Amino acid sequence: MTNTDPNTTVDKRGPRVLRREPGVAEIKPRAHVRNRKAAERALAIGVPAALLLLWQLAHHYEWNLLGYWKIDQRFYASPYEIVTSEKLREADFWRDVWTSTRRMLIGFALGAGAGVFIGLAMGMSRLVRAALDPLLTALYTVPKLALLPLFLTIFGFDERPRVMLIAVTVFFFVWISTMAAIMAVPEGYREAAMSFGVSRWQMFRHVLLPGSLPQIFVGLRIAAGVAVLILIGVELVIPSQGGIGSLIERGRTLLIPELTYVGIALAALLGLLFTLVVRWIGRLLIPWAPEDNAPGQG
Amino acid sequence: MRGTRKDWWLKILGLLLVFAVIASACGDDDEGSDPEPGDDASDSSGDDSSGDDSSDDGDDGGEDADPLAGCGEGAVTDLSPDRDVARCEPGYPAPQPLEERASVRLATNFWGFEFTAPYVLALELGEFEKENLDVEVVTGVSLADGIVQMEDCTVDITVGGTEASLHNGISAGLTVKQVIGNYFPPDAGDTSIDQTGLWARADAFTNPDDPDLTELEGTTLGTAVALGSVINYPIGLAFQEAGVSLLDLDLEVIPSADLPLALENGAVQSAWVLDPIWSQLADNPDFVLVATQPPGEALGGLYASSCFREDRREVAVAFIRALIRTMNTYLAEGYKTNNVEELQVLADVADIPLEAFTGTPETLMDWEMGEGTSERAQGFFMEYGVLEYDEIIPEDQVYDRSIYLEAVRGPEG
Repeated sequence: MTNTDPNTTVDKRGPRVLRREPGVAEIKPRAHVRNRKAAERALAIGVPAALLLLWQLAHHYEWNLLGYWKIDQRFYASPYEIVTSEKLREADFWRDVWTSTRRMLIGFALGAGAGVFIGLAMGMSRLVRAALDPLLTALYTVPKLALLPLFLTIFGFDERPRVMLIAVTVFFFVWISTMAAIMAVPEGYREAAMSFGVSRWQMFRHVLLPGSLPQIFVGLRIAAGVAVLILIGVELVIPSQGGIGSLIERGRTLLIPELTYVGIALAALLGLLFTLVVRWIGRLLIPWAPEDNAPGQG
Repeated sequence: MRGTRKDWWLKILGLLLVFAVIASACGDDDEGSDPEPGDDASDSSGDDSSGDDSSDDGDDGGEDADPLAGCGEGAVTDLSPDRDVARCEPGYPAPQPLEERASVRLATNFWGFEFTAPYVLALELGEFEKENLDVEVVTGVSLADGIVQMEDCTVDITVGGTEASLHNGISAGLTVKQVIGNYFPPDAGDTSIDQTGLWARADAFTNPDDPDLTELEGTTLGTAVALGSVINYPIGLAFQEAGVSLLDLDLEVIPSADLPLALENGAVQSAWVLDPIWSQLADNPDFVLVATQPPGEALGGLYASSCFREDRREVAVAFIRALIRTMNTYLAEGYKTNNVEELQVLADVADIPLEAFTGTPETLMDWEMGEGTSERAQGFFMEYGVLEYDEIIPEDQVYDRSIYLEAVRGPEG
């Protein structure tokens, strides 16, 4: 049998005695953690930086990719042009950014609040689950952007249809993860609590909520990203009254590529920042949860 | 052996002779088919007697018939706002089929509207075919998207208005230019006649019989398009004459079909309402027409980059010739009574009842591009802050009138 652990060797004094030597992580744990984190940071910064550099070069030299896609400087903005864009210094521009941020925050708060509430109720009560699950599951599959004409009819042409569409989209993501999180709390926890004779409120406060919060925050983080997606989608469809989506659309319809690219970059930045904020709040509220509990997020 | 060699030479000579005879016979056939453009023109007129007559005139001349015979002095105007719209005889300019079949890709966001009639009918009634053109239509493409596609020759020609995107594109170094106009309402400028224009709620004015546009300052204006659209040129013009800027109003972008409803429920106090949607507001005392399109000005048309205008000039001229012939044959003045069959074709394409077209006043189809429209529109676009440059681009960099001039006047233009 071959020994595959580099830190473990077969002792020469006897063939069946194994001796394991400590690795770097054990000999210099702090240095090891420091090095690992440095490597992670280098990758987190280096990979996007390398891609941006590639983009800048492709733009500068107008590369012709695969002989089909020419990077025409008239239609594509470079990272440098985006960062140094005059648009970033215009007050109207930042008004659009604030408009989008406000819509997203309000929509997210409404949708997440309702999603957590309904999710908790359905996770804790079979009757509520029986009553609402088929209906919500059916509605979940409806593309939310398709509801926009309906919302425009109900709420008119002001901010409400935009905010409500974000809220409804967020609701479904949060509702499902909350319900699943409550139902996934191990039966042993409940039985242990019941053996202490806890009330329903105590069961919720001390067992179900702490047990489900990590998973709920996974849902909230995913919903934060989705909120940005639907926000930009709505603003693209109804570009009046501003917003980052309307900036992107304005750049397209006025043939100002720089504006479109700045808008796209800002949408990405908004999504990243918002997801990080939700993640940070999660870490404040649930310090017992694993550090990174949402694959692919943050 | 010598005798055999001589026989071979004789056989080869004989074969060459046979080939020569066959080749010359084929050549005769080709030449014999040349006069067909005149025939085609007469076919194209269908039941339209005037079209038949004029194209028959073309036939009479056979090979020597002048394909531009029906395009006299009236085919070119002085481009002033009060001019009579340019016209040739029906069936003219006669087809001059390309020697080799050519394909043309037309990109448009609009298909089946009345102002699209020239190219819809040219396609449906075979006018492109007569020029030996194979036209492919790609729908759902805005002018801005089409301009980008045209620059790498993916698309040949695009439909749209004389919009901010066109001017921004030209300013950025794109080769796009407008090559043909489209239409204007015959009663443009006269608000006493119901038509496309700026409609408002009567209760927005102290005296609706003599509406004062300054009273709309601070109210909401509904429009189907954003500030970069050419529609905001006539709207801006109307408000400018009243001493108000369009920027002094709140703009709400609302789908065209919903504008009457938005006016009715007070969501907007005024709106630019297009054909035939304004007919929902006509004869209703709650609404008044307060401004129209400027007279004699087509606010849009077709656009092409150098790929089509220069590199495929012959094809471009053939394409425009087919459009002009379609306007003269099926869409000349009186077409709503004289060319109902052709309108039915348009109605079928649009999938709407014929009455939607016959119930509204005629549109004056105009292939020319009036003088100064682009520059005046740019002035308003600059005020609205939708242009990426500071000095107005002269119209010779925006318009290429040489193609339609060649179509009606020949290569000398």
